Amino acid sequence: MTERSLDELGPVDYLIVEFPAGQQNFTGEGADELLRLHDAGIIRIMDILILVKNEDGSVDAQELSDLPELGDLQRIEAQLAQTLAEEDVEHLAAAMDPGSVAAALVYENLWAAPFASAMRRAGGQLIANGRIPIQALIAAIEADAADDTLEAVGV
Amino acid sequence: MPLGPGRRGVGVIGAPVAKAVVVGAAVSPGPSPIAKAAVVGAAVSPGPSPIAKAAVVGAVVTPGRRRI
Repeated sequence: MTERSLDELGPVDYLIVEFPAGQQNFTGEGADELLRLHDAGIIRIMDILILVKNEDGSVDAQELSDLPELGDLQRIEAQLAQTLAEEDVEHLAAAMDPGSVAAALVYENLWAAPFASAMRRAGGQLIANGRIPIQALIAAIEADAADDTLEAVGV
Repeated sequence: MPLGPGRRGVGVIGAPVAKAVVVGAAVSPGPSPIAKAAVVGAAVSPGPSPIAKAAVVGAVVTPGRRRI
């Protein structure tokens, strides 16, 4: 990692992508797109763990370096920080179904870093953020359209 | 396979994670309460990058939904 001050860090997110047992695919189009975002400087991949949740609920975690079959993803292994701790593995695996395999990814949103730094310098403080599901947006628009229709007919 | 010594120490997630639910039905039209996050300290992660952690400290109410 290039030396950067804490103030220059962009927002850091995590996500978990789960696959049913035996259907995991960490080397295909998804991996290519992830590496493209990293290489383009849009995000910085900070950490990756592969989690296996056994049928008895126990969890096995594997480092990228333990899985040479992950192909091109391996080339970023040396750039990763071990951001996730053992206790995080338990927290992340709580969302997994028994028998499933998942990739846990931590990444910095480099694209947002200049804006976030500027807002901090201006005295602003992030008080909440989140993601709105596309399905929720569609449902809201459809609900508004239905309301408009009812108003138009005087109901 | 046990994780290495670099994975010991304070975690960054903070609490068990719940599976994301795909929203299929209409969302409620009124204001929705969201959690207010605040920086509570500069906890040092096991890796080389110190990251501030966020914690839920209260609830604030957002304005009503704006028509797109």
